[in-house]
Amino acid sequence: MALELLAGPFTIVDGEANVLEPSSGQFAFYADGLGLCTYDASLGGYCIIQLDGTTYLRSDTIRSNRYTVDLQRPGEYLAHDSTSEADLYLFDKRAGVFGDLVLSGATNFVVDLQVRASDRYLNVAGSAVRFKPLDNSGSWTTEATLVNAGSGAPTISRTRSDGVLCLVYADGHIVYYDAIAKEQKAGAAAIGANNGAWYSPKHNIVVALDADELKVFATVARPAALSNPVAETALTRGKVSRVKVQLTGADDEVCGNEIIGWSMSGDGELAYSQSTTDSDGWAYNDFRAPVSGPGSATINAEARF
Amino acid sequence: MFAQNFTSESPPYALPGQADIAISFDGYHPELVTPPRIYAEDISQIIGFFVSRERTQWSDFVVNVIAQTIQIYYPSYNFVHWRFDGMTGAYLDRHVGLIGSLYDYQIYPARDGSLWRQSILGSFFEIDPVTFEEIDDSRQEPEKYDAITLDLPLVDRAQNLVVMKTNNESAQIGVYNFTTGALVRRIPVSGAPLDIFAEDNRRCYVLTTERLLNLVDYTTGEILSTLKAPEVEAGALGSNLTWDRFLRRVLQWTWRDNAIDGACLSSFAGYYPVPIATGITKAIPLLPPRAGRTAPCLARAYGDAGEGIPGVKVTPEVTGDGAFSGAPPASDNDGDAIINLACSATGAATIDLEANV
Repeated sequence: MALELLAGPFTIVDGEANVLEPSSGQFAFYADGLGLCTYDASLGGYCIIQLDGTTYLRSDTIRSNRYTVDLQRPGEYLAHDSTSEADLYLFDKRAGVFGDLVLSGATNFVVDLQVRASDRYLNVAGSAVRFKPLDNSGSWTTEATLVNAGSGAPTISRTRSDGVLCLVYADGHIVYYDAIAKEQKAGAAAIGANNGAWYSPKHNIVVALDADELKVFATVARPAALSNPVAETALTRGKVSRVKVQLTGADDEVCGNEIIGWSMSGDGELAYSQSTTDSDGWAYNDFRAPVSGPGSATINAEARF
Repeated sequence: MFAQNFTSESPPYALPGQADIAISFDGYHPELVTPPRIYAEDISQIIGFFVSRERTQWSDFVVNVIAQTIQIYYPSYNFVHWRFDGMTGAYLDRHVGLIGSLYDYQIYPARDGSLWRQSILGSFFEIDPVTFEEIDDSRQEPEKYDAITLDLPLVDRAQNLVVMKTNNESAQIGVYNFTTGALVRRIPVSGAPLDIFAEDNRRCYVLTTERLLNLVDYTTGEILSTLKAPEVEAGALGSNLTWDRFLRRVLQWTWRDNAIDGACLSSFAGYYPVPIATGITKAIPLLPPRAGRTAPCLARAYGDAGEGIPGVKVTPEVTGDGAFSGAPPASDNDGDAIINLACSATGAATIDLEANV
């Protein structure tokens, strides 16, 4: 399902309109109430990017660090000390500062930790969802295999459902994974190539970073095709027949809750001038055929943008 | 950005012959009295900026500025203590003379109103609030805190703590037991600390590099807010911040270049510690706009640290195939305001936003 672009691309700029190219992927995250949180070398630290690309420094940090989604503190993140990826800390996303040490080990000890769940760490590599215990000991063990996943390590964010994660791959594939039930959830989508994208639980949108630009996507597909009207029940003189059309996106995905306008010429009449598509993309109308005499009718439907 | 609500008078410099400095022979710093300059002294550095409880004809507290000066009289430098009324900012009086020793640096106010001073030796000590002389047995040596230097001390006797930056903290402040010197906690802040001043009985402001200002609960280690401190005006020679515990506001002393005749133009300003919006984002649709539907659009009011500003009333103006509908939007606690766009027809609509702060 190709998600509809709502706004952007917005060029990422500082307060004086200088174009920035901030850290991306797992070195960034989106937080409602803050914005896109990342590091920019020219600004000199951890910064907050508004949805229209305007960026302000929040703390004077010296390097870009990788972040881990922390489901033990919903909405919060852990920060890697990415100098050597040996240590993992609590992170204060509002002030942009490290907190207490969570894990410590040898070089690259924490590099693969993407999510801290209540009982384990998670890592996603392509279609494989893998786990390790909370002491980060041992090797990764696959706990689920995702369908319609992209390649590489996705950016991961929380959704509105507890434990359900939104995984966005660099090639644009989006899948959902329930870290509590340990199973994939329905709702695969796509947004095109990106350098990181995150779901916003507050606004039900997807925020995507693409080099020095920011894009905002809806969580619904953009309509691309409307079927011809078909009669669900036979057209019979003097009777009412149900007619319908289906609205679909570019990848044949159904488009629900869209307005369809109806018109006709010839004999008979339509009950409604517009109707709304259901969750399967179908919109319905009632056609009243004339009581007597031969005749013909042409029914038109159009999606209204 | 904070809302400025107050500006003080500038302190007057002494003229040649003024009794409080003309106590010896002159001939130093002749540039000070080279026409068109006429004043006998000039600020060379600020060593104290704090508020104290003292009654004036207008209020119960005064703002103190202590500066080291250069002057035309022997020994070519001096120390001047200017006092201003806390409520009106009116200049009250000045006292001149060596304050402490030349090996003493900045003066820092504590939460309880006591004053502490840093030494070139890396230690700090309490000073008498009237004479500014060191109080016996108050000196805190670095060894007690397992450090080499102690800087920016904020003493909290009530909780037996001292908050400061030692050589062991970088982008952190250290909270230490004031009796034993034991480290209680280190609190990471948004950059290297440049100043620490008390806000109430357990919170302090920490000014860091890039002028980011953290409000920190030093008893828990929690950072309560991160804001941008008032900007230093262009061309200023320096600035200092302190907290006015009487009116609960941030005060900023701005050291400016003198007037053409050498008169002091420096002054301090007061700011409510509540950030004001410096920008609004463009309106971002949260649902795909469709003819005949209403699409909610998000606009965010933010401050100069990117923080969301609540309570900002946004006035939208819509042109094109749509119209604004619903109640006038105002930003929520995240700074987010929702503008409902009624899409009248297929086409395009432009939303212009305006907010008065």
